[in-house]
Amino acid sequence: MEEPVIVLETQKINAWFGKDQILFDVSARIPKNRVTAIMGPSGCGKTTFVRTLNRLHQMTPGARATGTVLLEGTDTSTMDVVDVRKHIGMVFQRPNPFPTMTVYENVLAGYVLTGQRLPRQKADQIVETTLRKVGLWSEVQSKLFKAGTSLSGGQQQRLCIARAIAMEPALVLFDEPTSALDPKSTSVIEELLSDLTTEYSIIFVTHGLQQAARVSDYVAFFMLGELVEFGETKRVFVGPQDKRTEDYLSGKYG
Amino acid sequence: MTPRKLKNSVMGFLVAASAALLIAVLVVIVWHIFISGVKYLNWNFFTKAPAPMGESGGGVFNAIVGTFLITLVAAAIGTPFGMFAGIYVAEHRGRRFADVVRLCADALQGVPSIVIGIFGYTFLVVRFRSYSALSASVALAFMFVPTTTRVTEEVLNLVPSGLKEAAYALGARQSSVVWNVSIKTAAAGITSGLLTSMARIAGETAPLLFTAFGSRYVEWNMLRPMSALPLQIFIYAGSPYPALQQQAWSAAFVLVLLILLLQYSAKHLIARVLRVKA
Repeated sequence: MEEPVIVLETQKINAWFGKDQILFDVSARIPKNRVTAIMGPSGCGKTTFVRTLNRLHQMTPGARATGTVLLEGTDTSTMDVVDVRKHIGMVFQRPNPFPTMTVYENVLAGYVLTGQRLPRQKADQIVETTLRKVGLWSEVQSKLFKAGTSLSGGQQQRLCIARAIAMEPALVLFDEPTSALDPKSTSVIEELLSDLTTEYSIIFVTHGLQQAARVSDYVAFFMLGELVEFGETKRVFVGPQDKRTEDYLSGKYG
Repeated sequence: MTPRKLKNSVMGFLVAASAALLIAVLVVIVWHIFISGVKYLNWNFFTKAPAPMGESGGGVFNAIVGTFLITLVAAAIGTPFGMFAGIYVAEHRGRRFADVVRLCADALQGVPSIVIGIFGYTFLVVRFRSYSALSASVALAFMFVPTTTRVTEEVLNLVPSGLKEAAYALGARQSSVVWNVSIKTAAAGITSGLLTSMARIAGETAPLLFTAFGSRYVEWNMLRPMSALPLQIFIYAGSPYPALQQQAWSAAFVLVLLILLLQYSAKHLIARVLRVKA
């Protein structure tokens, strides 16, 4: 097995909410153009981990984090937070298109919100190619200038994926993106992921074992704020090396 | 009937009766004002200045103009301060200074309007040696700012945090999130708050007594004394002439109508915000 190219590496990430430590020395290497699932029982720090990567975690009053995040070799602490977030996109648990914006404007929201003006033609082109990438173009072609919130839940979530990848990030963080969706919309998004890996690297937080097994190439298993095991999904599911991973996979907790 | 059932129906009756009483009070007030003032509610009343002493007829066009000018200028002065303070307080929740600002806004809301009037008199009228509509607007702006601050803050807090996070995750800076996401999402609510605050100051009388003072003529110059509906009502209602007393009722009707209209538009807008949230 050849060693994969690494898009993002974390070294000894520790994170706190006030006095409660959430993450303990998390060091992980996220492969490029692959889906890496983050799984583990509720409250194990999955979401906090991904939110430290784009520094959203640090925005919560009282929250802080230490450690190093290397994005394609660059220490993100030396980068402006705006640049970090342009390179690391995010999709949230609940679909959250901007209600004041149309479908079209939602796709371009990242450009507008960071003050980048695009020529009309370029804007049109980004909207179309991005919506095609998330399989939404044919569905919303005639609704481009309707409110983003007028779409169905699953469509809204794909619109949010489009909004994130329109900025051409290297890495996209998915924080349980299907937990608020019906099974049909969930499978549409799951199928979308492998298409997206041709251009993007993906971190996919999920608390569903089956979902992790279905969508991911690599898996990171978290427990009580520690990264317990990391490896190729097949390998981890077939032959976990840590007792805790084995117990979790056999349904002993969470 | 068991005691429990009896208790239930008595309480049910009291609750419903209180609710009905509320409607009745408004209906009685508006109806009474309308009946008492209907005689003068004609075209002249809305378009003519008061008739010279001793003559009959005339209207309150001067007061209508005054109320609009004074209220709008007060809102124009107060809106930026109130909104900015509201944004500040909403964006810095939990910080000591924000708490102090919020506390002061609440305290300022509690200052009796007569005190605001005396304040305007002392610092503006006396200083510039003239009653003026502008000093009235400034005094009213003092009442306008704290309500606007609080409403802006409350409406901004209704903006789902998920939207703001989505914007931050796209690389937006705080100022961009505030302007492009929070304010736009809350725009209808903020406008609604501004209208409610305007409705509140449009009916104020005490601050005008010492500042706008009143005028028998249609006045457009903000630096001169000016009439306003509450002032006109105050003066007419206290006059010994039955004709003027009736005109006070007519003016009261116009004022109440204006305020109800403002409040109705405000409610209408608030309903739209709540839809956005859901």
